[in-house]
Amino acid sequence: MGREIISLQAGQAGNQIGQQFWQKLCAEHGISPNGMLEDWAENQGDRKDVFFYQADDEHYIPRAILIDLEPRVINNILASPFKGLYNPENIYVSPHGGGAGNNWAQGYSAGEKVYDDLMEMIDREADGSDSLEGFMLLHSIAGGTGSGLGSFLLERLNDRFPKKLIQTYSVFPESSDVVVQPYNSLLAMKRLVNNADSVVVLDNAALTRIAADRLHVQDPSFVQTNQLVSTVMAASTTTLRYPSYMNNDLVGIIASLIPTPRCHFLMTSYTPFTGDEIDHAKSIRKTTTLDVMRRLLQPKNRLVSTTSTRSSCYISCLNIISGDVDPTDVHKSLLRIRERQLANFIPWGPASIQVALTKRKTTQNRVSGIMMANHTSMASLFKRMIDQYDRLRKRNAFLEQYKKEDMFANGLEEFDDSRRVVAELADEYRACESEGYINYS
Amino acid sequence: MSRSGRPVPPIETLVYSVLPGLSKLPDSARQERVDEVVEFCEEILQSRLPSSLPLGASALPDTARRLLSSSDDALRFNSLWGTLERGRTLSVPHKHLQFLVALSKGNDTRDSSAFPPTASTSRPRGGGGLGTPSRPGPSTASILAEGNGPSNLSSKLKSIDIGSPPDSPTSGPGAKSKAALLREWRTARGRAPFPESLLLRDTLYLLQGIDGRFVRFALAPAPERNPYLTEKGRAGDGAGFPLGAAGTELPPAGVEDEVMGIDIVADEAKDGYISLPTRSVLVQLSEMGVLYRRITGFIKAHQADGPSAKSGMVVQSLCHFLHHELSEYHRMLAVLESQMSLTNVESAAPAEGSGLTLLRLGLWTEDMKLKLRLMEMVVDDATKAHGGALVSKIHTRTKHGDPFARHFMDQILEEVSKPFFLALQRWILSGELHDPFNEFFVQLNTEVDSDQPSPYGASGDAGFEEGFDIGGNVSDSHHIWEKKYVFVKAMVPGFISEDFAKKIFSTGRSLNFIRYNCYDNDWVATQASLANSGALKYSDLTGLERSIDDAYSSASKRLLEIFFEKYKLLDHLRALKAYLMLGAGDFAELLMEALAPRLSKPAISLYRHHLTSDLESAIRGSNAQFDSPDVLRRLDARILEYQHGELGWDCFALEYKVEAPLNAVLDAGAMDAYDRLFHHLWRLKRVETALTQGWMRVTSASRAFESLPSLDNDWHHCRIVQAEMVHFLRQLQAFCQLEVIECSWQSLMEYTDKREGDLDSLIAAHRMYLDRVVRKILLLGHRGRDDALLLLVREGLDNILKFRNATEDLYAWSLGEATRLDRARDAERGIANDESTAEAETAAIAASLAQLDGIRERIRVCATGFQDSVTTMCKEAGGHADLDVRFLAIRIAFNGHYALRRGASKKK
Repeated sequence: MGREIISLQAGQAGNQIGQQFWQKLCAEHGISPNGMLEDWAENQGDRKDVFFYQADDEHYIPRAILIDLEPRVINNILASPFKGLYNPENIYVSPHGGGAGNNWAQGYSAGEKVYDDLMEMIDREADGSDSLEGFMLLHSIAGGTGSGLGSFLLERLNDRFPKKLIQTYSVFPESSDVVVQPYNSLLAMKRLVNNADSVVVLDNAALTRIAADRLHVQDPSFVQTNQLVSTVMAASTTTLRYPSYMNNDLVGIIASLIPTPRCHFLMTSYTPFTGDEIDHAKSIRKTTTLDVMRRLLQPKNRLVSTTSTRSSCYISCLNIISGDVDPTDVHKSLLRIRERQLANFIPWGPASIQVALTKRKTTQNRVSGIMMANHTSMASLFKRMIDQYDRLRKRNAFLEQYKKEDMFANGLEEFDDSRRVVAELADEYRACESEGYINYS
Repeated sequence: MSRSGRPVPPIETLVYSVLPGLSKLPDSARQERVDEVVEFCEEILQSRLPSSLPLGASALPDTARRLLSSSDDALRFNSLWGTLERGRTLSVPHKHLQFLVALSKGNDTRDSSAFPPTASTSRPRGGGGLGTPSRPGPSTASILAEGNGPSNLSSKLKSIDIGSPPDSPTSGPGAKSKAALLREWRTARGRAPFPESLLLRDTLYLLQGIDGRFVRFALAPAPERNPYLTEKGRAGDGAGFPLGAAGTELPPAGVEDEVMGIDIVADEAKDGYISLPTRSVLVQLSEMGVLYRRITGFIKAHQADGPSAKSGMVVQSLCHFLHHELSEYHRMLAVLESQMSLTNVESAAPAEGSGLTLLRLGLWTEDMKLKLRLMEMVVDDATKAHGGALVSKIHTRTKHGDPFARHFMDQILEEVSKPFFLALQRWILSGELHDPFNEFFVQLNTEVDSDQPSPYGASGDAGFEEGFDIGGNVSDSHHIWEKKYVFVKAMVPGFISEDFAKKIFSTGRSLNFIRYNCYDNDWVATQASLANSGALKYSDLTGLERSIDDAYSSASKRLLEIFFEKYKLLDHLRALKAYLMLGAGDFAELLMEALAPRLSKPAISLYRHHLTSDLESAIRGSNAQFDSPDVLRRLDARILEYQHGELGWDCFALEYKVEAPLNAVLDAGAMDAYDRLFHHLWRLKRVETALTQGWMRVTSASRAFESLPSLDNDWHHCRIVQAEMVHFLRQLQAFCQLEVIECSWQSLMEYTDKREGDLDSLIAAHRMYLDRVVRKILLLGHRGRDDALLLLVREGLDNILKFRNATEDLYAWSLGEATRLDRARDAERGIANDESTAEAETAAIAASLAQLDGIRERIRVCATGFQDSVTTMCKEAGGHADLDVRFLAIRIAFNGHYALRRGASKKK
């Protein structure tokens, strides 16, 4: 059976999110921290082999490759109860242990150095799958490793596996995280635009906001925001793991969400976040299907902070609803949403909300939903990114560290090129808001 | 008529005309005779005998009219009577008419001796001058002429002569009743009353249905009888009854000797005179005899030929009851007889108040007569109706105002319905139809042959079918369930409402089905023994209702239980939803992946074993492998009949085999519907797969052909159209799955959770589910026939596939162009090893550009074709009768894209 997806988690954020993600998947599929299947979990109609494979001793092993240039996070993972879950051969920690120093260029060039080691792992994983569907990269674009090394991986994966999909879950930075994050983000963005097929944008600012507003957790820990992210990741892959009529493969989901190849930055909403998913979160009262579907459209539930204008609109929108859902309720909710015009859609083609139901068997049968949408307000995010970059670049600040690396040794054209790519992307998203997009070039 | 005492010539002439013999006498003697006759007549006329026809004045003309045989006569009578009534010719015309009516009655019974011939002399008709309507048809005169003739008449007149005149009418009326007076007068004229004791004996005979010595039953000619047979019989030819010898019970009891009334054959001249009232008493009493004869005839007819006859159990038990009742009747007759012999012994002339007289006989047998009448009615019913219908008929008779009749009918019904209830009990407790005479309202449908081969039996490999019935035939349980027994409405007894009868029908049907089609004999047996507490009977209808309700619910519940637990119906329905409706996405995708290359080839190159092996691997590769083996072994890949030139796509079908008894629910029709659904959904899936591949193509094209900026617009356009197609297909699929399949499934689950009703309701629930799914998925319109929308969808899908091919060609062209450009660049750099001439190069470029234009045109045509059909489809669906289909039109574009586009194209 095919459609396997290999996860690559790079850097501190990537590995932390990954850790939560695999915990969640294990919990859903009934796989114990040491990889054994729980008794209750047999034949529940799921497909574990999309994200796991079975070793000779029947252990389930994630199709995951853990990469970091500093050992701290991975060591943490190896000290956790889940240490036995991962294939030790799939863990790469830089022998130097110095990290990438929050520098994209450093991360990128480190990638070049460890290319053979990484590709060996990836090839092994790819060979171990019947019909590999694609890769999933978890990283943040603000720092050094996830951003730089991640960018390097994207480029190389694209070359080496041109027919495989690449989806990333990319955490976009808050403005205050790292001083040079505008540089890092912009450089990484170029690769996300050019080398990824689909990018799920997660925004630290939005994560913090949601933790505060939805979960009433002020000053959330990394664990908590990472749990938010992993919840979204798990939810957005439910249709892959619990096959039903449609959206059983990644390409199916992406094909319906992404009409034109460059506009592939997806925003997500998830509701309701509850104490079941996030530690120390306040539980929310029972929600109806309509509640869920309506909240998914509300900007405050988005995991991205974008600024919508009056012309902002959905290019596409997929809701995955799980839990004990009455299909007639979904139908009614769709009618209601349409009646009240709760969402704007592109003017140049047909668009509406797609709904997928998953009958995931969970302990609690609460209705929950995730929205994956392609929304033109994403342009505002890129605009902000460019603005921040421009402010920093005007002063030519903090460029020394970059110039040390080969890529920038002979000039900073790479910066300009990345800025151009991101600006073009922002323009294309803006263009999507008008009817003329049909003839856009 | 009251002008008495003054003999006037007209009366004399009347006398002469009536008695022409008088004129031969000498004058004096003649005058004397005339006077005597006139006097006698006057006496009679003054004597105010009670009218034999105490009819009201108004009813009289009607009676008279009824006596007339033809309508012409009746009309004539009407007009005559009208003038008579209005005119003043007669002061009291009614009396005249009454007289005439009485006369004609006497004639009709052919009882010529009932009237003294002298009565005719009193008829004013002969004068004619009085204007009495002359009556057609047999008249008194003809009666006189008929039997006796003039000579006889004169002798009778002589007897009048001899007789002394009656006592003077002035004699005290208080002393003797007029009847006594008459009797005396008659006796005095040698017409002594007929000895009542003789009549009594005869009457008793009559009561037993036997002809008496003086009084007999008058038999009507048997009209149904074949005259040929009769004549032969009369001729005494032994071979005259060829049919009769063969044992045909042709003439039913009643027909054989239809008794019309009685004949009084007493020679009155010898034995005495039987007065009119006595006659009517005799007639009345003889009615019982007639009834008795009919009843016994009926009993004989039905009991004699035993159970082999078409009589049936109900009739037999009716006979039993009648027999019982008749024995009572016989007892009564015995008592009467002893009474009579007592009377005879004691004295010839019974004393007042004791002994048996005709009148008393009538009085005492009054109740019995009523009973006999009722019985006769029932017997009459029994000859017309049969089994349950008979019970029903009898039941309607129990609704009688007379408590006596009601009670008696109840008794009959109680007895008669016993076999019915016996059959009922067996039916609802063990599901056996024990009804040798087709009396029950459930009947075996003789058309059903349970061994008939099903259409599914023929195709399919032998190995698979070993699990099926011996002989490789799949018996069609649906057919058996639907058709094995039929409900005969006419046979439902009246005391059972039709709904209730349907319940009974269903109960036994369920039990029978459990027994013979689900092979669960034990349960039925235990159930039957458990419930065998009390016999059902008519008098306990509430108990009946209760026990039937119990039996119904337990049988239905059990049958459904068997279907759900033993035969795992729900698993099969789920499997049908998962495999035939492609609910199991991973399975469907694997199957599609494996089959797509094969199905793209001409159908003729398909081999079934390839398909089955692909199916096998799809099952093993997906979660389907965890499904129960019983489900999986039913899945089969099939090649439908194909025509020349068709592709594999057109004739591939996934099949799910069901055998008895599952095919009671999943009958051939239902499987056809599933086939249709699969075909459509499979087509959608195929297009979806094609589109997904197309998406990969057009998306990767953006990276692959950065060197060809001139094609950017083409690719962008392709992507936009492609996105629209993906969107359309996704929405269509999501609609099928969510709005249609899931919502319908939900309502089916609501039923199966409750499990109400019997197998019929289960079948109905499933049929409703399936109909709903088919109707909505195939977007069928009015009464499921209008498939305009479906055609539009197909057109759209075809365009998508064509578009896919066109984009593929564009991709290939781009690839070629990119290579060419690369080569050209290399040439520029001078490292070209290709020595081709410049002219050839330009020609090739021109050709390839022409090719590009062709591809562009194809893409454009497909795109507009697709958009047009979707736009039309949205418009049509927007006005569809089905709300869900209407919603599809909205769902396809929440932003109203197609409505806008339609508006835009209109403006142009």
